[in-house]
Amino acid sequence: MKILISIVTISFFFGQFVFADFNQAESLMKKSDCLACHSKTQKIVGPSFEEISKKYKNEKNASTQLTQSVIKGSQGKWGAIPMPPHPTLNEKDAQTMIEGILSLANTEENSKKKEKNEPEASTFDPTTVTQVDIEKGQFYFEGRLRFQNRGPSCIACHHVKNDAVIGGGILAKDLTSVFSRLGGRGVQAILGQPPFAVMEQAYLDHPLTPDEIYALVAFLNDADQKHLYQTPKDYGAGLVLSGVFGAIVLMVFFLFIGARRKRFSVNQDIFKRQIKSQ
Amino acid sequence: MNVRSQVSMVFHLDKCIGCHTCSIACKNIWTDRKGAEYMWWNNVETKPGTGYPTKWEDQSIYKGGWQKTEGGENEISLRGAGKRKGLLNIFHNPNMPVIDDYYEPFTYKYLDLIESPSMDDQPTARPVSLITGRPIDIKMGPNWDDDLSGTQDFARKDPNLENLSPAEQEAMFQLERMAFFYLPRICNHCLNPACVASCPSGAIYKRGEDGVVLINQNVCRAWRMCVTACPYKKSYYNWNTGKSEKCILCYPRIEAGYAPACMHSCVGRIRYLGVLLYDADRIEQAAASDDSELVQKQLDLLLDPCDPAVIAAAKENGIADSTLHAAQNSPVYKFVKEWKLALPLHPEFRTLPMLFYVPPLLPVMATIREKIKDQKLHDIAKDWEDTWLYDTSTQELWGAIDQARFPLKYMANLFSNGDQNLMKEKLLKLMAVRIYRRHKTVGDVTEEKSNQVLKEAGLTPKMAEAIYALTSLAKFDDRFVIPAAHREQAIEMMEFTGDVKGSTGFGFKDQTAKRGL
Repeated sequence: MKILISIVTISFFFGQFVFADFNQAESLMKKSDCLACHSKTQKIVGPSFEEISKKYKNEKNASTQLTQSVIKGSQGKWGAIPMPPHPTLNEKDAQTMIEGILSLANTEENSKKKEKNEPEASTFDPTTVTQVDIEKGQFYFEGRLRFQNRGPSCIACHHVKNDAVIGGGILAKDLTSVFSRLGGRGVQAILGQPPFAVMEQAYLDHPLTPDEIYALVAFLNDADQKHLYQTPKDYGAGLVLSGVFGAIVLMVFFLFIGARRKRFSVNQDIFKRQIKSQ
Repeated sequence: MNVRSQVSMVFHLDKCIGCHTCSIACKNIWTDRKGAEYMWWNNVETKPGTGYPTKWEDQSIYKGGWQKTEGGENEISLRGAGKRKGLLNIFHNPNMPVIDDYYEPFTYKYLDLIESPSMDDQPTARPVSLITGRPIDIKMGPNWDDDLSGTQDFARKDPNLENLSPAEQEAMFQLERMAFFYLPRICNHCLNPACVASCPSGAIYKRGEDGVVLINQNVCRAWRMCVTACPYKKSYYNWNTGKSEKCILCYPRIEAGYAPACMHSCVGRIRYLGVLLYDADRIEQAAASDDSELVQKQLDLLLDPCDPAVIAAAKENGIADSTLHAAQNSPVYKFVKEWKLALPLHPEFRTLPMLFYVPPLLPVMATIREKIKDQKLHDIAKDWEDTWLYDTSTQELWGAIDQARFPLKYMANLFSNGDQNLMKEKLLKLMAVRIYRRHKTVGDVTEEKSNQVLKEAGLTPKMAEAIYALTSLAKFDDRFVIPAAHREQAIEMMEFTGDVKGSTGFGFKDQTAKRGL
C-alpha cells in the first residue's frame, strides 16, 4: 500500500513535471504573439525566457504573478519597454506558458544543447541588405513612399539623425541608435507588433507588411551605423552674419516700398503755420 | 439689351443754399458712432474749393478711379489697383488719405462751462479730439473752406482750375468778381464702381434691384482698397470696427418708400430721386470710350422707359411693373434725358456716376464787361463806380454767357470733362426757361423774344413749363418717385427663404459685425 501511495505521489509529481513542459508552452505561445518579442535564449524586445526563469527561480508565487503580468501587462521589471496586456488569453493557457518558461531553469543545460541546433528564423542579416532596400526604407520613413496599408509614416513621430532625413517628429523616441539597442529582430518585432499604446493604436488597422518592415529595418541599421559620421553642419559666425545681412536687405526693401507712401496731409503746409496753444 | 434698373439722383445746384442740413441729417442717422466721427457720407462743398477730403479730385495724389489702359484698345484699368500693383503693394496701400486730409474730428468740453468754479475769467469749453480724447487745436473741418473762406489756401488750389490760364484764375478771385456755388456730394452709386472692382475681399457689391452700392460689413477685411479706388473718396474706413463704410442711399428708408434722409431734409428741395433704366451690356464700352464722347456714351446707356422694346426687355429681366411705372414717372429721367439738363460729376473718372447735377446758373448770371461811357444802363444793373460793370439784368443775358464772371471752363472741368459746349448748352436751357418765365410773370420780355430763346435752346414752351414746375413747384411725390421695393423677390433670387420661415422679418438679421482683424 505504501508503495502504491508513493507511486501515485511520484507519478503525480512526475506528471507535474510533464505538465510544465516548455514545448507545450511554446506551442501555445506560437498561437499568440509572444514570440514576436520574446525568444528562448535571446533578448529581443522583451527578455529571453531563460533569463525570466532564472530571475524567478527562487520566488514562490512567481507563477501566479507572471500569469497576471501576461494577461494584464506590466512595465518596469525589465526596463522601460512595457509588456502589452493580453486580455484575450485565458488564465489556464497563460499559466501553462509561464510554468513552461519557469521549468527552463531546471532543464537549462539540455535546452542549451538543443538551442545550438535551432536555425534562426527570419533574422535580419545586414550583409544581404542592398542599397536599394536602404533607400526604400528611407522613403518609407520619410513618407515619400506610402505604406501599403496606409499606416502613418515614421517621420510623423520619430526622428533619425541622418543626412538624408531633414527633421523628424519629436513625439516619440529618436530612432538613430535603435538598432544597437534592440537589434534587428527587436526592431522587426516592434514594427510587426507595436508594444506601445500610441503606436499600437496607430497601426491597429494599418499593419506594416513584411517587405516594408524589412526595408525600414535596413534603413535603421544603416542610419545606426552611419550616425557617428553625420554631424550637423557648423555655419559658425556665417549664420549670424547672414541673418544680419538678410535683415538689412529686408529693411532697405521695406524702406523703399514705404517711401512711396502718402505720409503727410495735403494741408501739411497750412497746418504747420497754424498757431498752436500747447 | 440687358435692361437693369437703378435708383438714381439729380441735384439741382441752383437751388442749393449751402445750409448743410443734408449733412447733419445723414450724420445723425448713420455716422454718429465711434470710429465714424470723421465720416460725412453726405457733405456740401463750396466751389471753387478743395473740398473734403482736401483735393479729392486730384487723382495724382489719391490714385482713384479708372484710366485707359496704356496700349490697350478700349480697355480701362484701375488707377491705383490691379494685379501687378496689388502684388507689389500687398499689405500696403500707399495712396490713402490720412486723417488730416479729412480732418481730426472734435467736440468741446461743454461741461467745463457748467461745472467751472466762480472765477475772474469766463470759463471756456476746450476742443477735444474725438479720436484721442485729448485737447487739440482744431486744424480743419469738413467744410473748412465754406463760402470761400481761406481762399488763398483752398479755393485757389482747387484741382479744377488746372486747365485755366493764370489770367483766368486771377480774374476769378478778384474781390469784385468772386462767385461760388455749393456742391453737395453723396456716393454716386456708379454703374462702373471702382470700389467694387478694387475690393480684394469681394465685400462690396451693387445691389441688383436698385443699384445701391453696399459694403458687406461681415466680409470686409479692412484692405481699404476701396478708400483709394473711389475717386470721389466716398468710402471711409471706420478705425473702430476695422471695416470700411459708405453711403447706403438710406436703403432701409427707400425700401419702406421714404426718401433718403439727406433728400427728405433738403431745405432748398434741390434733390430728386427716381428710377433709371440702363443697358448693362454697354457699360464696359461706355466706360472705356474716348474722352470726348464719355458723357454722351454714359447718357446713351440710359433707356427710354416708355419704349415698348425696353419695357419688354425689362420684364424679361424680371424688373417689376412697379419699378417700370416709377421709371416712367422718374424726375431724374426727365432732367437727364428728356430735357438734357443734368450732367454727371467728373465723368472723366470713368465710374459712370449715377448722381447727376443740374449746373448752377447763378455764378454766371451776372455778366461783366467794360462800361461804355454815356451808355444807358438797365434799371437793375449795378454800377460800381469804376470801369467794370456788373449787369444782373436779363436784358443782355443771352449773349453774355461767354463773358460770365465764372469761367465756363471751370464748370466744364467739373461736369462735362472739359467740354464747354456741352456746359453752355445746359446753361442756355436754364437761362431760356428763366427768360420764358420772366415773359410770363414780369412781362418785360416780349413773347417773340422768349419763344426765340426757347427755340435756340432746343426747348418748347411746354417743356419750359414742365421744367419750371419740377424745379420750382414740385411737391414731395414729384421729387421722389420711389418704386415699391420687392426685397422678398430679390432675396429669393439668392437664398431659399423657406429656411427662415417663422422667424422675424426675412430672417436676415445678422449679428453685429465684429472687428475682422
